[in-house]
Amino acid sequence: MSKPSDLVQGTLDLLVLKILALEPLHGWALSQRLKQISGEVLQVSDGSLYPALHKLEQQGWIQAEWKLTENNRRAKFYSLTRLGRRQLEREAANWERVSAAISGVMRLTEV
Amino acid sequence: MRIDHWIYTIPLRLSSLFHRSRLDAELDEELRDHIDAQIADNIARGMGADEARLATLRAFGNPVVLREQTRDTWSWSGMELLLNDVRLSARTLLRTPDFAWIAILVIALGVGANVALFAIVRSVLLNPLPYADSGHLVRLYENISVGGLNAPYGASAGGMYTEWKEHNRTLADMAIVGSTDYNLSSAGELPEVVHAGNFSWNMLSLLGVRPFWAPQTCSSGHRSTRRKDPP
Repeated sequence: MSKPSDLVQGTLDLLVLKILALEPLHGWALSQRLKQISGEVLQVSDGSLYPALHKLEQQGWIQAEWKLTENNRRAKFYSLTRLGRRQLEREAANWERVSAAISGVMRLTEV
Repeated sequence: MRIDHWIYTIPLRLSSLFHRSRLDAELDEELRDHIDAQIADNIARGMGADEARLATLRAFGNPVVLREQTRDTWSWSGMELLLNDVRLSARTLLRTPDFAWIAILVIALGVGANVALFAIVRSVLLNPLPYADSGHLVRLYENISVGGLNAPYGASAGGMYTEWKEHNRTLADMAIVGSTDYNLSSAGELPEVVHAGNFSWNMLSLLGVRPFWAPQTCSSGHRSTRRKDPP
């Protein structure tokens, strides 16, 4: 079990926004998708998703709605808001910039 | 902050303020659903019931801690802390009534002094004068400067005023005002000083003031202020 701080700071938000941009999901499905996509590389405890989700909701980047799942159970579905889409673009651009800078440095040290 | 930000967040904040227990219940349900779904998923992968439950809880983390962390993200947790502070200080003040009274008295004095001062500032500086078209009211005066002697706001002679009034093209009307003291006495009583103002006949109509009582005034009234040449 690992805490969200094991992730690069703020990356969980970016991943959640990105995954929710593809389709609205409820908490468990989102955690499955996270594991599926990132493999075992990004270790995050399943539960720590919820503080992150609620924080994103409070910031107005995602919105929640109780809907029925495919097996007819009530679940809280999260989807991206218009604000969230803009935030995702900003954070993605930011990530590109930072990771490009870091990989640039890594190439330097290998020469 | 942008308006569309508020569109999303204000309903959320209001509901986290007023429907706290419902939100708590929903959060519990959300966490429980996740755990149940994960257990079911683990069983479907061939784990035994107990093993599936343990594995789920291990992967999930401490639900109690997580619930608190989630509640902390709700916007009004800050407000709740503030309420706690208020409650605590109220209790502290109740426990030391002497100090509480002194504090209340000091604050009351401060507030009272401020209110009194502001009442004066408002009527003297901020409120418009109670005259017709008071925004266009101006004061003309002579600035007398003779041989190093400076007398700003000097008194103007009546003849000067008449000249000004005759050549005036800027102002709608001009009136002259002065002040004087009279001695007033009646039989058997001590005399008293009466502060009085004297002004040209058109003063009241210029200010748009209707006097409570006034003798007939006429347009030649101001001429009497002209200095007569000695015989």
